[in-house]
This record gives sequence, structure tokens and C-alpha cells, in this order.
Amino acid sequence: MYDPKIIGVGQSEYTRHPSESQTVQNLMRDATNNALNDANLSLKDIDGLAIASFSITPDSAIDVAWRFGLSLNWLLQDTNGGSSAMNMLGHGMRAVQTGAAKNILILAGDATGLAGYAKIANAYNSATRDHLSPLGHGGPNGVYSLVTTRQMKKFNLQKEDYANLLIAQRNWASMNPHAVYKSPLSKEEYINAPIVAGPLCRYDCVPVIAGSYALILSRNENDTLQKQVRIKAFQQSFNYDNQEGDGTETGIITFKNNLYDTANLAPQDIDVYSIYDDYPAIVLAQLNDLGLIKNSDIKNYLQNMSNLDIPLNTWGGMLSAGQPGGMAGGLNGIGEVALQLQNRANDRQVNSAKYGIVTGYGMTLYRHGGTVSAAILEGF
Amino acid sequence: MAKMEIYMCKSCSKYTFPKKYFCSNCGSIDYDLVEAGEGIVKEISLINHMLGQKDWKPRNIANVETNLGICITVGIEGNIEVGDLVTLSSDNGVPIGKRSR
Repeated sequence: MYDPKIIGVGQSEYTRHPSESQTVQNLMRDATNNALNDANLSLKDIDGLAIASFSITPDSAIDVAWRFGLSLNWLLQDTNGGSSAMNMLGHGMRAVQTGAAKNILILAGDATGLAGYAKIANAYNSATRDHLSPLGHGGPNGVYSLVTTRQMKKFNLQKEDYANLLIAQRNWASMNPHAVYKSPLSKEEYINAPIVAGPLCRYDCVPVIAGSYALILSRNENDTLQKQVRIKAFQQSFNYDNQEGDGTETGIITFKNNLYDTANLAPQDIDVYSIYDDYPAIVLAQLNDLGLIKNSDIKNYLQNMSNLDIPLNTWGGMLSAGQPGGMAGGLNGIGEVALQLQNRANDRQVNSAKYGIVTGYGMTLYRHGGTVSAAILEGF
Repeated sequence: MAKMEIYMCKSCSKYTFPKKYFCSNCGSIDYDLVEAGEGIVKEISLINHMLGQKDWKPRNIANVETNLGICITVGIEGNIEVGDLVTLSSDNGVPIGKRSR
């Protein structure tokens, strides 16, 4: 068995308003180029491709392979939204472990535009198309507004309690040159922001952007790096509650112990985390399920996170850096933890980071997301 | 408007909405339709903004616990508050709630 390592990361420009030339294919090309340069590889070295995108239709993964000039032994196209990045990481990990591929390009990107995103959101699945969109539920904003209200009731939270999470992520984004929103966010701005879907305000809803992100997963190390990154543990859960729960817990509760046991680590050993952040309530639900919020005291956790003391979503997360589709956004979170563990996160660098957690969450079925994944990465 | 109906497994009587291909409890594929005539409003969200639409008129959606015990997401006609009892109906399979008199 080979030991897969993340040996390169790369991204395109992230933009709210893509130019005519910033098609999803061109953005993916840019991210790929940057990831290959980072990995010190060429296209000829790539023998596996995993790809996720809502906006490459009518093309599929094999079209991208052809247009990129990739001749492959292994190919995957993933359609699991916010969990696609982690799904591709998991499948890629097993492919490298077993020798099915040596160097895998894991690639995601989207350039749907707002109207295109609205179209996707309103027919995300048949349940949404038939039973939610006709209500005017506003896409996932309507679903997670109700989940957020349930979380507020369950954990005795007020709307303003969430502000610190957004303020902290914006502070991290200010040090990410690729983030679309970098200016500081005040509590007053958060509290007075227009409500999109009560109680969610503008800052609680991910800004849809155009962009692409790429990782290179390899059996070999990258000799140009001082530190390597491996996948220490990997777990997933799909449809754990048949949508019968209230969404304030995630499928992480089905695998949390296995995740830490496999890595021989405990929550307090984790130095940095990228938690999939389509909505603040879902970040908190995942953190709580991962045992990263002491005594499940979410209110106290939020009260202590407005500065940079908590190394959560250190790239600013999708809520500040932008959501280039949930698939590429998920990859960005994985890439950020890899950079942190390789001591390459520049101004955002967390001291002595050795272990990181990354998650993916998504595929809103009816009342909440149906998929969740988590991995522990190790720098060595 | 039609009656709001949800699915009851013929084998184990478990309720579900929307319809599943197999009952998640017993695996049966046969269902009866049962009216869910009323429910209690658990949470409300006012949808102020709709992606891609500039002339959107705000409207309420709500999570309602039906008299059969399962929760569904409904559109709301008129004013409601959390805790209100609403009468449920169906507009081509889309659940609609209106405060009961």
C-alpha cells in the first residue's frame, strides 16, 4: 500500500463578476497550472483525474481529460456538492493506496453566475423541485434559516451570537490575497445587515463566485517542500437520519470516534481546521459533533472567537473568500489545511501546526444536508 | 387546493414525506395516503430575497409538525406565529398552511 500525500495546491482567480474569458474551463485550467507548478509536476505526470463542477455541462470528466491532454488510468466525476471535495479526496486516496494511479489531479470549479446558481438551487433534487421551490423557499437559504432557528432554540443562542464567527473568518480572509471580501466586518454591520431569509442575514449566506481549486494527490513526496502532508484518517456518512432529525446534528456523530481512533488522536490534538461553511449554523454543528466545542457550549465558544485565536477556516472560508461552487470551496478548505501543515500559509500561518481536520457537508435533501465527511491530515 | 396527504407504510404504519421508494423502517414498498389536516408551527422564516429575482415579494415558509407527528416544510398564507395551529392543504403536492380559526 502506498501512502498518499497532498503535494500541490493551486487556484484560479476568485471573482464575483467573471469576465468573458473567465469560463469554468479557463478557471480550471488556471487552477491546474498552479497546482502542477506547486507539485513540481507536468501534465504528463498525471495519470488520474477527479473532477466536480455544476457548470461544465454538457461536458464531463472525460471531456476535461481530452481538452487538458491528459492520458489517464483512473477517472472520477463526483456530484455530491459540498461533499464532493472530500469524496474525491477519499476515492483518490484509495486509488493511490492501491496503485490504481500515481498522481491524481483533484479539480473543481464553477462559474454559474447568480441566475445559473438560482436555477441549480431551485431544482437541486426532485424533493426541492417538487415540494420546496414552489413555496419560494429561496434555495438553501430557506432550508438553513429553519435549521439555524432550531439551533438557536436548542443552544439558547441569539442572532448576534453568530457575529463573531463571521468577524473572525473575515479577519482571516483579510490575509488571503484570493478572498473576494477582505475588509473588516464589525458587529454593528452584521447586526444591521439586510435579512435574506430570517434569521439569516447577508453575511450568513455564502457569496456565489466564479473560481476553481485543484489539489495533486501522489504516492511520492514533493522534494521541493520542507514538509509533506498525509491523510491520517478519513470517514464519511451518507443519509444518516433519513431527514428525520432536526439538522442541528450531522452524520459526524456516526463516525467521530472512528475518526480519532484511526488517527490515534483526540480533539485537543488538532491544531487547525477547515470546516465546510455554507452557513454558520452548519459550521457550529460540525464543530460540536467533532468534539471541538467544550461541553457543547456553543454560546461560550462564539463569545471567544472574534479574534484569530481559533484556527478555524483560516483562508476566510467560503463565507468571506467566496463559494466557487461548493465543490471547489471544499477543495479550498483541504488545500488550506495542507498549506498550514506545510508551514506555507504566509500571514495566516498557525504556529507549529501538525494535525488538521477538514470536512465537507452538503447535498441538501429536504430538511438539511445528507452528506458529511471528515479527514485528519498530518504534516511530517 | 386538495387535502394535504402524506404516505403511511402499509406494513409498519410509519409516516413519511416526500414518498420513499422503500420504507426506511421495514423496507416495504406499499403505502397508503393519509390526510395531515393540521399542524403546529415550529419555526418560521420570512424569505426576503430570492436569488436571481429583483421583483420578489417576501413570503413566509415554516416548519410544521403535523397532527400525524412528522414535520414538513410548508408555505404560509396570511399571518402566523410560532405555536399557531394551521390548517394544511396541498397545491399540486406543495404543502400550504393557513392559521386555523
